[in-house]
Amino acid sequence: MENNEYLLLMNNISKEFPGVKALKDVNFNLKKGEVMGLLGENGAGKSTLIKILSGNYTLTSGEIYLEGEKVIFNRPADALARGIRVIYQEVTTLDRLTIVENMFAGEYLHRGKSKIIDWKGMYEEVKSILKKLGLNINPSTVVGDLTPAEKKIVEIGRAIHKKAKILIMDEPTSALNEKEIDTIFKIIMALKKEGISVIFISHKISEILMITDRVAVLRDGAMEGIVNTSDTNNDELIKMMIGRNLGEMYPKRDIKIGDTVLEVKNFSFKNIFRDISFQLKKGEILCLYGLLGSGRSQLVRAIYGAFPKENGTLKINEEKVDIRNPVDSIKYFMGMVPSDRKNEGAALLMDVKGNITLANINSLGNGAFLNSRIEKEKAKKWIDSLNIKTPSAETLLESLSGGNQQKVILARWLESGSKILILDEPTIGIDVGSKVEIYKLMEDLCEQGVSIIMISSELQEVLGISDRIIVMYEGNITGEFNKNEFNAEKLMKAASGIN
Amino acid sequence: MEKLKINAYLPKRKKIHISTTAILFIALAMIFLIFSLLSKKFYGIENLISMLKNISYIGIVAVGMSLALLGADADLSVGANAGLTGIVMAIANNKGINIWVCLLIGLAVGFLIGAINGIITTRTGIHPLITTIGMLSILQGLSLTFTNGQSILLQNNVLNFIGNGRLGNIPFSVVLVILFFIVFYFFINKTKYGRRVQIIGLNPKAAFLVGIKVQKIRTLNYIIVGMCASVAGILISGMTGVGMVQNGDGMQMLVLTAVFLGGASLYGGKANILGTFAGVLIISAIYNGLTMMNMSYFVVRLVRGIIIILVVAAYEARERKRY
Repeated sequence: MENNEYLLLMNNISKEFPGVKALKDVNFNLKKGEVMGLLGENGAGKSTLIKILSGNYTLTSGEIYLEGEKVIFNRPADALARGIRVIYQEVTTLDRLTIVENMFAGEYLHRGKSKIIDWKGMYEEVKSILKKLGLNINPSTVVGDLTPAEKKIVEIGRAIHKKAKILIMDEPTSALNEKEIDTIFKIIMALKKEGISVIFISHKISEILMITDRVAVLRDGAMEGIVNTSDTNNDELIKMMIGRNLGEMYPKRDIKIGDTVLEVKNFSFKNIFRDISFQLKKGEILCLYGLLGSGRSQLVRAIYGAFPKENGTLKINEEKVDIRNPVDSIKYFMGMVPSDRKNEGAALLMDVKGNITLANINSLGNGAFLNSRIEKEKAKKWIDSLNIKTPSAETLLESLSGGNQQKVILARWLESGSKILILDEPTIGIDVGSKVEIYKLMEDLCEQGVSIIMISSELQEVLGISDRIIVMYEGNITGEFNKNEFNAEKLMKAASGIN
Repeated sequence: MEKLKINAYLPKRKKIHISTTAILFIALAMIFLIFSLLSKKFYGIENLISMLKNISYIGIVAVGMSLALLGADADLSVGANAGLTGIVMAIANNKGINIWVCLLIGLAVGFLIGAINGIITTRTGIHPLITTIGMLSILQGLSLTFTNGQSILLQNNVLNFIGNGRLGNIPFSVVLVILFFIVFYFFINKTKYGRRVQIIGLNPKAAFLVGIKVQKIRTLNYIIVGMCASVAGILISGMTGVGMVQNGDGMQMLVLTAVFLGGASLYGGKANILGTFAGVLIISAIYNGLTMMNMSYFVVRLVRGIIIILVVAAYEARERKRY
């Protein structure tokens, strides 16, 4: 199968995990020196596709051709050897080492044939790479002292200093402000000129439209299509991504917002959040929007008693309360769904019923003993009413899909009768169908008088579901918008600290 | 290319689920069978009872350790704890203090050691293995200081009954260890406390966020293990009639062997009291059986080491197979 037009061809790629078809017959291709956008909702299969291409996953079926030659990647080293490099969303630099040590980590240059490390040679090489990337910094700088954008550039340098053919960038801009994003874009254009192909993964359609030549859109594990960037637009891409018009995703609801249930006053902790005050009303969905590092996650944790604060008072239903830890917040019927489902939310190796009753163990029988009948009844009630797809209440949580896991964790707080819910990235890593169900659930809860503080980085979601939006930038509130006032542009500006 | 095809056309693996406990009891039955065939002395109720008596104190500490491991904690100071308990009781007894008060003092030693282990580990965030290795050394130092390296006589009828007495035909220590296993089986599997410990072991951050008092429960667990260890110390002094450093020396290794054989994980969230029971019996049967065959103690250690590695390797292989 010769085809010289494409540097990379991926044909009929499928990947199955126990119980989940992550990719279904996906076709993908890439030309030399091209910037390809890869778009899709969380859980659409973007990372699975990338992990197959980078040798982290073996495919269930399908074929990969690189430069016309069939390749099989069984481990990351196989893909690396063929010039495929990945820069992950999370910064993976070694912060205590210098830029030189980071770029050559694990493969130091040696002097001649000796085993002596060639520090000078590496220093010079890094210097020239940094110059090419437009970063004017001493290569001996410790990486921990760099800004997030500079760290990203070091990662790019690390990826390309050895013959890279394909550079995969997973959400490279998610932690960066507008100016820094500009820098990254300039670098991408420079790489393109050198003939390196870039796969650019992002949630931000505006960025995709700006930087890419073509866009591939994945939805629920299938390739919706690959289009030329110049032939498409924002609305079309969204429709490809979510399989329906944007308006249909989010429930239309009559806002019946009541009195203030939660009053946050003068919350401060070091530089992380400063003098934050706001109110939450009954039945309201209040969204905190901002970039990574804006301090919103720490702020809501401080409200919940799971993060320290130096200053600040809290009133719940007009009554001043002292919340020092989650034990206190639960007494006042607060609940929290953290963004890191795996490490902070779920007990993955516990069964579904145990996870549903996790926050409410006291109700599981009289005295000190557990009553498994009560537990099963409670679990069954929520499995039915939230339409949680699980073989049984005794199934381990880890074998459920992300969306169903999230429903289990939400059920935990419904079971405890929470009146104020803090949802940190509630739809992260879950499929479109489950997302719609969770939006619907949030709406139902509000109708029953529950109030929600939501943190989300997905602009579409924020715009679609919020009654009110507060934007944070570097620990300060930089904007507050009511339902009829907000739009994408205003939010982005406020989130980047531009007034 | 080959591999690709295999992956694509491999039939779906059928799930056969045999519980860890069942595997262990099958293994135990096989060990019993083999030794019974190899040695005439091994087979018989009297030998079984003597086996159970010899490992009674290991079993008592093993149930406490299971609870700790369920919450992703571990206590390596149990052996030194048991030794110190005996020594403190012997000193108290020789001062003419009532034996029942001496027993309470013994239990208080375990309580205190557990509380200190727990408070240090949960407040400072030091890894439990490190805290309790430190504690192990501290306790041995204390024991040596109190005894000058000598053994102290501890002769008393009550204590002798606890160590060597029989209820009907069954040694008191065997009754006690079986009681411990039954109580802890319910404690771990059927109480709200046990559930909370399991959640802490599986995901301490999630436990904190749902309002479980993580530090308090973990500290309580250390106290429970500590007191199990001092009960073991009381049993050993009862059996030997002395308090000395060597009592309980190295016990933590046998205890951990039994608990890991039973399927507990160093990473928490798993405890299997029935499995631990089988683990204790396996260790005891290996010791007893090989000794009956006139094998030296060196061989016993060797075989024990091989078995723990093989069994836990088998568990790991089974875990991996799930993906």
